[in-house]
Amino acid sequence: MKRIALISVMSIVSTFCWAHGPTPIKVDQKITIAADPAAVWAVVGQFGAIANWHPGIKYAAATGGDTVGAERIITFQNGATLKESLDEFDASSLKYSYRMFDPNLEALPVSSYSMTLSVHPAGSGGSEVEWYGRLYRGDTGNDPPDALNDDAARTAMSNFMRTGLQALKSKLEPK
Amino acid sequence: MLHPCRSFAAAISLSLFLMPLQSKATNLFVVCQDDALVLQIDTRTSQVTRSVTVPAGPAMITESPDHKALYVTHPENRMITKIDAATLSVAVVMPLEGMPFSAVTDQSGQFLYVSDWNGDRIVRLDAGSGKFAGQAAAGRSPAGLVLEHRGNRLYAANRESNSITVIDKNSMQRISEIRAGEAPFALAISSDDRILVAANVRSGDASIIETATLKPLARIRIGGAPYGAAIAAANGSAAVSEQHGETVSLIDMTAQAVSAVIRVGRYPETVVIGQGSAYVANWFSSDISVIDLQLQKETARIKVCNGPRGMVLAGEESARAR
Repeated sequence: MKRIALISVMSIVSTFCWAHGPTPIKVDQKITIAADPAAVWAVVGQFGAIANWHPGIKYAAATGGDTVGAERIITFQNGATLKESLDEFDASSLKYSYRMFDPNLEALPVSSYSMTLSVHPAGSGGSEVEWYGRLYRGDTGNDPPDALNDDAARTAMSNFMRTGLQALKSKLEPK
Repeated sequence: MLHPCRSFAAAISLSLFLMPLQSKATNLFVVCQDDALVLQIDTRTSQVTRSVTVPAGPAMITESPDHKALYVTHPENRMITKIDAATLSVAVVMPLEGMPFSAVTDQSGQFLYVSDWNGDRIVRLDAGSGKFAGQAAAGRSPAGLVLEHRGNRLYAANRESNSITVIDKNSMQRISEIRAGEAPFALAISSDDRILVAANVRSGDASIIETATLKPLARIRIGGAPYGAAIAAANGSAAVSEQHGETVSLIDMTAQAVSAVIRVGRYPETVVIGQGSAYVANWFSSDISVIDLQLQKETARIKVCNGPRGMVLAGEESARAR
């Protein structure tokens, strides 16, 4: 049964591979951290080092460092992978943007996304980390199943972002 | 902010009537996908003067050549709504199977052409009734659609086949296929119909195409994900929005090079140009950046409703064929 389900999901992927439906979804997560922006950036500011702070990512294999065009393949805890590439990297304003390549619905029920992560100074020497982006549901056809609709995409990505930011906060704040 | 200001609108209508030349291109219509709203902004005051709620999920907008009607696509809702510009109310709902995305009317206002994202086709509808009046095959996932101001050729950017389909609007026959960069999304055509610009989302550049030969002249590096394009009628320069760097690049067409990169709001998408300014819909930050093209800087940011996507500057020739 599991295999049949997987095959049906895969056929959806191949039909809509690279598809990028017409209705984008907004995701936006923020967290304040009691650590200065430079210290926060030292952890999140390396594009290839996401596995060092995000518990949802088992490991990341990166090439190209922190320059535009750099790539990373992130492996989720269930073994599913996604390839991402760096589109913008601005160390002076503590901000970078990246996008995914081919969708993998086992990783996230999303057909396409572009994300930005930025660190701003917050009150009393702390930081605010904002992670935001634009994505498209897993099935961009007219009648997506519940598991691949807008809500599923928004929820899965928001949870992924929130989990990462909370772990980042735990890692950086003094115990 | 969104409440219609009737007396103000009436005053504007009166001024339109009294000074038709001076009032050209002062109404910017903005489609907010998240709020299912169309706003009318007076570009002289940067104020929202009227708004109308439309069916869910509106995306792109165009206007009729006589400025009396606006057409809004609703990709997920399988329809196009025709809005009466005088009353700013929905006049006709035009059902269309598939995912209608970009729309443009012909010069006479008789037909409406629509790109069908999931149907891989360009559909022609009667602009009054919405009745089906022909179709032509496009490439995969046609998005941006423009029509020559004086000629008969339609150009559709096929996002998933890296090409632009050229269609004769009268016969609805495919004339040619032009190679673009990766994932061309938005298109703009110059007011003299000689130059076509395509914003290529995945390759991060803009294709400059000569319509006389249907050949690409250049691909200009923008970076990130270019999502919107417009060409100034005045000097043929182009403006291309880029979502990841949150910028608009101005392209000097004579030099075929980027002359300025201007920081705008978050996730900028549609760009329209009129009377020396470029207006950029920032989808994520829900505002419009106003760029003075001579100063090459952002001079204002207008807060609008949530998720602005398509825009049209009423009465602007280069804006009509978006």
